[in-house]
Parts: sequence; C-alpha cells; structure tokens
Amino acid sequence: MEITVSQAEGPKPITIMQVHGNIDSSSFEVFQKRAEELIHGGVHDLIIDLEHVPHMSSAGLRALNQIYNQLRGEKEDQQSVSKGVTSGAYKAPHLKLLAPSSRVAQTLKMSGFDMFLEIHPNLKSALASF
Amino acid sequence: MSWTTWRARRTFRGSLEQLAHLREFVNETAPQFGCNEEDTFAVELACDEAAANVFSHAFGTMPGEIQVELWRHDNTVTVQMKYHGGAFDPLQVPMPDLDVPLEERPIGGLGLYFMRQLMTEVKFEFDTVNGNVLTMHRLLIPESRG
Repeated sequence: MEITVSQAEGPKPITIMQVHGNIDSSSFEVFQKRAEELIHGGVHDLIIDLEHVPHMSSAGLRALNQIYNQLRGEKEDQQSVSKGVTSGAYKAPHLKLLAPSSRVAQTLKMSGFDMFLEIHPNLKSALASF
Repeated sequence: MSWTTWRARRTFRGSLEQLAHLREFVNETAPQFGCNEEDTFAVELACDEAAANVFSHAFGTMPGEIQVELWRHDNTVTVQMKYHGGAFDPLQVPMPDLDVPLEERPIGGLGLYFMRQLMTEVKFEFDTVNGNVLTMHRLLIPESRG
C-alpha cells in the first residue's frame, strides 16, 4: 500500500490522503496509522481519496471508524449526532471520502457508513464541502 | 451442461498476506461459474471476511493453512473453507447495530455481518476429520443464471 499526502490551497488547511492499494486485514493498520499520525500532527480536516483502492473489507471500515472518531469535533455532542444521523441531517464535518470505486461504494453503503460520511465524486466538490 | 461439473479448489497458507491471492482466486473462478459482477463481488468479499477471521484468530502462533473450494449447483454458488485450528463460534459475535452512530458501535462483528448479508446461507461446523468447515451459499441473482 502506498499513501501520498498533500495539502489543498485555500482559506482553511485541508489535507488529502491518497491511498493506493487494497484496504483489508493485512493492510488497514498502515492506513490507520498514517491517518493517526496526520491527526496527531495537527490535521483537523481530512479528505481520503479512495480512487485507487480497488477493494475494502470490514477491516478498512473499522479503520475509517477510528479515524472518524479522532476527527470528531468537541462541539459534536452525542445526542445531536445521533438525532442528525437518524434524520439524515448529520454528516461528519471533518472527514470526507473521495471517488470510491463502485465496489468500495457498495461496501460503504452495506455497512451504513455512507449515512455518516460524505462521499464526493471529485476533489473540487470535496474541498468545497468543508 | 450441468454446473455441478464446475469445481475449483486451492489451498492457502494461513497468513493475512494470502488474502489478496485468495481474492484473486475467487475473482478468477466465480465468473467461470457464471457469476456476474455483483455475484463475484459478493462471494469475493464474503471469502475475504471469512478468511481474514480465520487467519487472525484460528491459528495462534502455529502455522496453518486453509483449503478453499468453490462449486456451482443449479443456481447456487457454494464456497467451503476447511482448516484445522481454533473453532469459530459465531454466536459469540454480536451483530452490529447499523442504526446507531459509528462511535457507539462495537468494533468487530461487521465482517460476519457482511458474510451474512452477501451470502444466502453461512454455516459453521466442526468435525474431527475435517476440522473446521465453513460453508457459504449464494443464490445467484437472475441474470447470472446460465
């Protein structure tokens, strides 16, 4: 697995993590660790580019779950998040996904992760969503 | 021609690095059994989840291996995984509640949930000769039925 990290120019620093390779039980730790390093290094807003991820299993989803939890804002109290998720009004404000393949999109849908995480077709729309 | 003539078998070392090879095997074999893209995806992901679970928990520090067999009978594709090692008790795995927010969900259980979502039937058995036998059936969606 290869991961490249870049920074988007704009009023707000947004980090883009581009993953190349499958995210499964053999590789999720590398993926999760890299994201955690970024977050511990001060990253608040993260786009994970999944265009070059042909396959993601539940191990990848567990990693996304961990990354999401670490990026959660202090203002997001549990009750309003729960309410928002149920009504469809809540999406994670600091973590966005970009361009998953149809297979990965299906995995995100099957797990219900698409209810919490915005999925953008292109970088422009992902950047504009913050 | 009867689909029962279609059968493929391969043995993999019990290591997480083998997951990619296992997926490749399923991805190459399932279309030969008349599986369309959606069926192939389902069988491949279910196999990944099942094998990842075995590789992570069944062998401990001992080397192990897993025998994977695929076949088609009528409109059903079956995957069978046989391995010796710690038995897996699916009753010990809580089903994830997908209606609660991410951070409240218990980690784990999602792999088994996928297997049950993707396959029509998932069965775990154990006997002294074969060891652990995991059998998963998927009834093919209509357009795949050759």
